[in-house]
Amino acid sequence: MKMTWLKRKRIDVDNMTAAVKDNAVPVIIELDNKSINHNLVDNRLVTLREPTSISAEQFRILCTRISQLRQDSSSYALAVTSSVKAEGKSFTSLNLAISIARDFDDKVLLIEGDLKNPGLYDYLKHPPGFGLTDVLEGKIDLDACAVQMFDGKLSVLFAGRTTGNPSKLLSSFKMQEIITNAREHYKYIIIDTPPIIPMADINIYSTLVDGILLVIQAGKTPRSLVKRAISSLADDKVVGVVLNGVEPIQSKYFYGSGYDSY
Amino acid sequence: MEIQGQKQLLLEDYIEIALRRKWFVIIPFIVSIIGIILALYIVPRSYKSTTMILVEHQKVPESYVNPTVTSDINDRLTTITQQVMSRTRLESIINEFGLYNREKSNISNEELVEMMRGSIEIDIKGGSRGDRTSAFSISYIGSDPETVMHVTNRLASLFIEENLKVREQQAEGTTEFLDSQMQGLKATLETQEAQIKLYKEKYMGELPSQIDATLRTLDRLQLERKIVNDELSSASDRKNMLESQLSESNNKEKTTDKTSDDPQIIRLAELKEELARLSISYTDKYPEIGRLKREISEIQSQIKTRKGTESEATYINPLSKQLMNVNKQVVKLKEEQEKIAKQISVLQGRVERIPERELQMTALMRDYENTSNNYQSLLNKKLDAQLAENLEKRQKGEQFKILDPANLPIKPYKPNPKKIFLMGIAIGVGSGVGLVALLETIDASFRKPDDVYAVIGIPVLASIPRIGGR
Repeated sequence: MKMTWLKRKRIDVDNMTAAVKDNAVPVIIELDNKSINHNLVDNRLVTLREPTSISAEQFRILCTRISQLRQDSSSYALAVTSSVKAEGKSFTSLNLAISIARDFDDKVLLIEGDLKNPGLYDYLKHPPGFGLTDVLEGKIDLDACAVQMFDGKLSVLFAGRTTGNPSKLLSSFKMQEIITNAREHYKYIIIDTPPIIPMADINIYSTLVDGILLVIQAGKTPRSLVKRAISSLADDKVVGVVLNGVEPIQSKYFYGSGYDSY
Repeated sequence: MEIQGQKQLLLEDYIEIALRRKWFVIIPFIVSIIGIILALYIVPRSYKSTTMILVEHQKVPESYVNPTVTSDINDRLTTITQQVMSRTRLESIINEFGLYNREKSNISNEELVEMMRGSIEIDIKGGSRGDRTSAFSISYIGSDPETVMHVTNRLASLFIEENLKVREQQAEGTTEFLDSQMQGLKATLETQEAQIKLYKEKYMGELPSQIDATLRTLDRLQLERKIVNDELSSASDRKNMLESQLSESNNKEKTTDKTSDDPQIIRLAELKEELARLSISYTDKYPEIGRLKREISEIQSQIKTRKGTESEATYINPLSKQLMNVNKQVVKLKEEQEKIAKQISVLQGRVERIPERELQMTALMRDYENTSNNYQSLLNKKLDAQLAENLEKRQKGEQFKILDPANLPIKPYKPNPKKIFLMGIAIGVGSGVGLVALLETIDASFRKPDDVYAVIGIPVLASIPRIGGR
């Protein structure tokens, strides 16, 4: 079985800091189809590990639908959020980004917007380093600290240093500038944002993006909570829902049922 | 934000729900099983004994003896039930068999009796067909099998006794009532009889029934009168004839005695001549005749006395003697005539009054007959009633017979393991399913893409299966 595989150069933080200082080249994660190292890639990256699975197929469907939202050739910024934490925001954003970059061959920037509880490192087994906080503080350029994948079609900007007060950083003009700049280089900008209920950050992000994708953990998040979360968002911003963690038997029968919704 | 109505659940959904909520079904089920076992041990056992009583209908056909107890058997059964279930009866049974010893200390007698009543069941059978009850059953439920049997038997015998008593009382009551009615009527009848008797006595001879006899008597009297009249006229004829003969012979004597110049005899002849002349035109009652007769007899006696002295025998004329007899007869006949006339007038008066008496008599008789008829019919009824009473006393009337004596219950009536088991399972499964259904409806989380769209109206773009093991 031929598989796209992820291979990375090991970089230590000290080296990286040095590289940043010297305006060094960005970290590139190289991918090839030769071998599979399960230890290096989290099994939640279904689009990468099992591209023929139902889950991977669902992500492809999601890509198609999001591409339909994009007007002409313009860039599309999408915030991925959920009502509460741990509903699968990072899982969805990362898989979606991979799917766009690899299956649809479009340039995509994935920004880890949750500065308080960043989780993307885990997925890519990437050690903490420079990230969004650093870019916002003007310490480093986005291009310099974004991790490149799939020949630069997918750029991932990690959160970087965690901060106690992300709102202040985010509401600065710099964030808007980053997005505006990114729109010129990427067809899709996907922001993995903090959950709606405990954080206020989503309000900042929603003004910057074209659409919001709501992730709902099936069988877990109470409906009332979801309703409350949605009511706190601008009505027309939420473009769709990704229902996560559907029972296998359900997904078998409801696979692709989302077509009806259009 | 409901957009779509509740969509139909598919079989798969049910399976999915059942698998997801399996513990909510299993736990209540296990709890109910434990409950069943506990119930079977804890619930006190009670036994039920039943006796079947046959309602035997009258043995003598009703066309011969009409039963006086005609009330519906069902009604009577209710009455008897009330009597048997009375407080005193039940209390005596409770005391006799020592029932409810455990409860006795805690509750009043009233409640004990109420408990006992609750444990007795009367079930009427065959009431629907032709509305004649053919049998009924008595059941008693209690804690000890043997006592239960005895109590049931006692209840059955009480029913039988009570029925007999009720029937006998009713039959006796009927007879007594008829008796009292008859006595009243008898008194009326006697007074009426006395009235009639008094009336008859008072108007003896004027009664319509005596009309024939009276008329016959009247006829006879008239006949008698006629005879008497005839006799009287013939007697008068004879008298006249004799008188004329007598006067002739006197004349002859005068002529023969012409020789005698006795003035007395001459005078006598003159007197007799005068008398004969007068008696032609007058009756004896004429005063002159009386005077003449007296003078004649005076002279005759003088002559006789003289003649007795001077001649050997005085000649007495036989004709005059005959005349005297005839006279006497005439007087007698006239008296008789008068008597008959009087009688006739009395009888005629009676005959005239008969129609009036008849009216009065009819009125009297009518009353009497009415009373008498009533009396007769009452008498018949009373005889019937006595017959029916005898029927009851000899127990040939409708009666209760024990068809099946009370059984000794072996299996407890309560708790019925099968019933409890089924009930427990039903409760267990029901509560499990109910619980799941409740959880499903109140559970707020989304499970399917359709749920999401139905609730928040945002399309689901993708539904990602759960990754196994996470």
